[in-house]
Amino acid sequence: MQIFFKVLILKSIKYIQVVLICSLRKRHLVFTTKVSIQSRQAVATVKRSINTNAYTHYALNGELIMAFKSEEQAKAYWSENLALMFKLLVIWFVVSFGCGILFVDVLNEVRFFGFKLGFWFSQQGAIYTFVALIFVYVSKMDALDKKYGVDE
Amino acid sequence: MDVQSFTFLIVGLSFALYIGIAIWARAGSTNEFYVAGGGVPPVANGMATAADWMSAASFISMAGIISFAGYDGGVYLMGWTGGYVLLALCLAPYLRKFGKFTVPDFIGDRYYSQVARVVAILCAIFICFTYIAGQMRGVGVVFSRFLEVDIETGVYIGMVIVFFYAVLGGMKGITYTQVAQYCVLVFAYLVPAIFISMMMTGHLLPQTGFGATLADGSNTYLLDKLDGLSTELGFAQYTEGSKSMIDVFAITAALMVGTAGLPHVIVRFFTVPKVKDTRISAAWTLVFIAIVYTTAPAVASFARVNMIDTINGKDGSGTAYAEAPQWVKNWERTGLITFNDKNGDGKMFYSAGKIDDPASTNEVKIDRDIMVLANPEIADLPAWVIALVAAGGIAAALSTTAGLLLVISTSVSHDLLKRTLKPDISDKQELMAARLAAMVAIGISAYFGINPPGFVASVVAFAFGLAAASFFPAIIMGIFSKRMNKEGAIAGMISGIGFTAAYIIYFKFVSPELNAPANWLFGISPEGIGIIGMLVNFGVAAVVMKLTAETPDEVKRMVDGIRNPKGSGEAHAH
Repeated sequence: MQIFFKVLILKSIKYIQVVLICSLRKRHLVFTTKVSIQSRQAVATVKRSINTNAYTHYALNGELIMAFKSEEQAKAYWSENLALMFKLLVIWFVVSFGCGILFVDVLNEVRFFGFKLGFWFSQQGAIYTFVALIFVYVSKMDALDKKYGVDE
Repeated sequence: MDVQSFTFLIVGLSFALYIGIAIWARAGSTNEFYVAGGGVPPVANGMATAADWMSAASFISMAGIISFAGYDGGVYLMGWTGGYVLLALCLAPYLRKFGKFTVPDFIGDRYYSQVARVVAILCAIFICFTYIAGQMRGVGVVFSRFLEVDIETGVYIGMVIVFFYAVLGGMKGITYTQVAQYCVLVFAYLVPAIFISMMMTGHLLPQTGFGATLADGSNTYLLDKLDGLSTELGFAQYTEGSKSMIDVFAITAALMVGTAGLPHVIVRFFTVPKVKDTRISAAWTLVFIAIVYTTAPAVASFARVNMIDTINGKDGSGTAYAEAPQWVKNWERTGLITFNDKNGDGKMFYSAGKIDDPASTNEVKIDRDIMVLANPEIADLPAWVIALVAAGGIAAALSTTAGLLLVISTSVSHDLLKRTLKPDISDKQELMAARLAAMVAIGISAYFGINPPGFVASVVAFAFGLAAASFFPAIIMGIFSKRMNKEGAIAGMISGIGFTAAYIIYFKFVSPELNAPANWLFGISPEGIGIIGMLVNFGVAAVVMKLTAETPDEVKRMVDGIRNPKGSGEAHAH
């Protein structure tokens, strides 16, 4: 416990120091985040050695946030990730619930080879689209990981 | 050689292969037992997951159900594939990054609560047991028909095989055995489908074949003929179906969400080395599933046309029973086809209605489960194809059983013992407990295989509904909301499960006579109610979260860690 408090105190002192110094500079935000992450990491390491609760492994993942250049980067990565996910899920909904169920009667008026189109979506088309969606997701996410330097 | 000897040969060869792989890949550590040491290549993992997913129900029953339900059968096709999109986009990569073995691990750690963990363990065990009971029965049915042993012996043989590779091999053995099983089952599914497609439409691909014109010179589309026959015989049009739109919508959604929440599917994505591999592994899984699932509706419509033509005759006046083809006699012996010559003309005739109802002209009752197994016989394919289908059915049933057993044994040894009751247990003891749990589970499932409860089919719907109403929302909120706390998640899971279970139990077991669209909530059948359960879960969780304490900071950092794909490392136990 002693080590834990030491690090805590150390952390707050460092934090105050950096805020004081950096507030004079314009890039202050970047510095504070960096340092706060570093000290958080130190706390995590200590915590890991002194208690065995379930989060230690993840607190250790605090260092993984360092893989992003800054917290803004991490946030930007996450929102791009969500936007991509959302777009793909809209297509997912449209081909299955839309074409295959809600608008099936309208689409069934259309002939697609020997199939009624709505019926084809329900028993074939939706499935092909699902496969394509996951492959698009895989390639876009790989590109996103590279862009933010979190690829492996 | 006859069908019997071919079946012995092909099934025997495939078994030798599975057991060989299980011995070659014996697990040495708990890590290898649970997640194959995180070292399985994505394509292999995709194949194994596909085999794990495609159960005896998919292999044997699905095409049969579609064959009888037409458009309505599409709920299974879309539901059981669309769930993988949710899994790949919203769950799998994050759970892999989380880096533990099991779903209860995630729930327990993310919601910093042993109560949440225990609720999750109970759900996982229940969901897996409902599945496994049906699987052992499937093995028994296939054995009893093709090896001409009684169903009990069939179940016992299956038990011994499953014991070998699930209990001794663990996840590593299972993964590579499942790769072999996938190859066997996909080959067994495609060969007869391609044969029949060539015969009926001249198309090599069944997927295009069932939308093509018939090769008999009539120049009509196969589906048009099927619609015509259906209307003529008093059924709903094949391409239109008879379920209400809201029910089709709800069932599809419940199956999709349930698929994404099934513990034995989720756990598969822990076996690849990196988060990146998880994504691509999910993509391959769906490719391998889609190969079978796009063939199934083709098989369904071919089988339907063939069956009606064979029984009612080309001119639609019925075929004399004395001249019935061999397959009718074969299956009549198993009790899955029944003929009742109501008008006494010695001819069989198939139409809508019950065979004991004097108002209906129907004289033949056909169990939908035989469609895939009987299909090669109906189309008069060579004996080795029929034997191959038997081997495929057994592969499908065994691979799923093994995967489920693993989840049950992990839930007991790892989640319940190691993480909850007895944290100081050694690695070796834990492995021992896992194997013991698997053995007990095999025993119980064999019991249900021999003495099936009358409601196996209903219980499967129960499992999907429960997964949809419990795991899926809890995991989604755990990843996408840092604010969601333990009070919210637990309240959500319990109310979601409670609502869904109460609805299903009421209509399936308490008052089955009331199970009709007029009495359903919003016109949604018990099969589809899981989706409402999911909404209840989300709603209750959101309200309770607002009223209770903020999530601790460590947990918020943990969520940040999960969202960053880098540095997953191996899956850890502690």
